[in-house]
Amino acid sequence: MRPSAKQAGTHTDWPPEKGQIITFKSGNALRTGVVKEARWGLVWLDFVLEDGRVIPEHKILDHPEPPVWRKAEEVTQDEREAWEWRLVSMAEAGLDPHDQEQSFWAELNQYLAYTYLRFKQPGHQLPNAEKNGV
Amino acid sequence: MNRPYEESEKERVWRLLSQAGLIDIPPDDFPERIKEAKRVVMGRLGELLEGTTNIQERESAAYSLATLKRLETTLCRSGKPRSSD
Repeated sequence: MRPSAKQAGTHTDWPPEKGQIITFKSGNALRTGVVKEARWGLVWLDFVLEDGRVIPEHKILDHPEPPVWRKAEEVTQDEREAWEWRLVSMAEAGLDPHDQEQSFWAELNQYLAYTYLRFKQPGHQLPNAEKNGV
Repeated sequence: MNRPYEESEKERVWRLLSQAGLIDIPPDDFPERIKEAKRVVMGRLGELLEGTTNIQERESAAYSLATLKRLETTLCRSGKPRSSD
């Protein structure tokens, strides 16, 4: 790890900047990485690490609670269509969403969350909601 | 500055996505989550088709549904069971 990298920690210096070290949840483990850039997805903020992993803000230790979300109506049609085109291209290129913390997994996750928020009507509950105990 | 509406809106979104299992999708759950997203979009599209307004939203819903179907088909075609991971 580069000696110049600074550990991100408190909400006062949120979000972590390029070069800062972040600690994040990965399965049952905690891992660290160096931030390359922060970028807004369709719903939440993602941090791209120098090794290419993509970490959603809410998986980073000490992120602000609740995280900041984008409203579905803030996403432009061009942005959504570009996102959809990219997703289909990645799928057709054979990328595997099992590669957790890689771009395809991260973008597919955000797209499904966005689509749900955008089109879900009040009162309609998904079968999965029950399974998740809520 | 106190902004209670904004806070509650964030919490509402978090709750909705948590309930739907869409915050941090386990890779093996993508096929099921795509199916669920399709159900949501089809439900909304059905409502939109009953009206004569919201043509743009209707087109967006149809486009999203097509994207979800393409993703589902492609991932299903190339999918390999990874339960041993």
